[in-house]
Amino acid sequence: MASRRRQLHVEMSLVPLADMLTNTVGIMIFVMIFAVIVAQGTSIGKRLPMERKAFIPGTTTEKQAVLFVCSHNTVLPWRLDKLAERFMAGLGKPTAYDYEEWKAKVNSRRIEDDLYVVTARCEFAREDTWDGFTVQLVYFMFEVNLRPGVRGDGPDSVRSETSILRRELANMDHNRQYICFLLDSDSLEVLGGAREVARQAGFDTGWTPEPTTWPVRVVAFPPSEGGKKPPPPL
Amino acid sequence: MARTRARTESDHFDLFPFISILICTLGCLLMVTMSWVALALGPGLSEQWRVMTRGPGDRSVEKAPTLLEWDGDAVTVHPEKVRVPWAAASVNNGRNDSAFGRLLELVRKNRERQYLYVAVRPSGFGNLDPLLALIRSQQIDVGYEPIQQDRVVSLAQDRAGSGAPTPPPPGR
Repeated sequence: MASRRRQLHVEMSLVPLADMLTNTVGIMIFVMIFAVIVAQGTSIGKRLPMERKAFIPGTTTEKQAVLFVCSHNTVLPWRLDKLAERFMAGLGKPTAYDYEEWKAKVNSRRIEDDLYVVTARCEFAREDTWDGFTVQLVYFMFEVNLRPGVRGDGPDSVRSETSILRRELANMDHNRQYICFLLDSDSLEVLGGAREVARQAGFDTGWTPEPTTWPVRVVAFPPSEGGKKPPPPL
Repeated sequence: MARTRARTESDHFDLFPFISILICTLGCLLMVTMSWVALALGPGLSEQWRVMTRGPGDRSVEKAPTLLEWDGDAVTVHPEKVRVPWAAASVNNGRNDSAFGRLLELVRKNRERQYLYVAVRPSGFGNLDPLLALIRSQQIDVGYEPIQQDRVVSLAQDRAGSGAPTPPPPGR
């Protein structure tokens, strides 16, 4: 009876378990070291293009820059030229006799498209002379704001088939135009996606730093000295 | 009946605590690994740019880039990573004895084979134009790319496949 009781008492050895544990820890440490080494040595393949002039095929005419604004990590087409043209349509030129009326028209006018609302402010200086008075335009400034609810393409949505960028590109000619991104410092991420989409569509691209806060105020008069020309594509 | 129960109880050996210890250890190590990798890939990521070959007609494959960093205050010349304040770098329109001036001179003499590539930090966005104008004024080709403010950047030394010409062998 006593010997049977002794036989039933099983002595468990913890050595195999310790082996298993140590082996697992060892393997995990190997994996950890390997993963960290691989992650820290990340090498990113990149095009490192130079500035170059882009010409319309078969001609010596340079391609025209089409501007896109990258700000708040979104990208939007910059359409001030077209909107300003629409804004000025029908206003005519101010004269000394109707400048007050002209100013009132400008200051109250509002032009919209699907993305933007454009308003303007102008001011005249009147100087009385011995034989009457002279009037001079002192400044003319456009104010471009986003329509309520409008948000540009973000880093993910810019790649989608329905993005604003793709829609704009569909109406552009990559043989005659190139894209210049006006890049704000908070939008590096969206720039990568937007450039990729533009290149896939066959467009040359370039970028230039440009801080953007909405509403964007653009002084049309007096004209800025030299005026910044969009840089050539990269 | 009582004897059978006693035998069953004494035969039973519960492995659960040991498996728990094993799984916990695995979990802890996995978490450490993942955190480390996440840190390495996230804020601590260093970008090593490797020149990629493009299609025919792309001039960037014909020349070798030299990397510069621009943060608005200073130019950092690679691969030595010598930081030259803009005030010193721009002296005499870049024709000076700073590391930047020497690099400009070197690239200018070899401009058919080399060009400068500027990694632009957001802090340098506001005054990038003077730097680019200075480089262009030396008839040196230039490229530029924005990069995160704190990201370490370097150019991969191995440029195999970049298409850049190798220096000619020394003359006899």
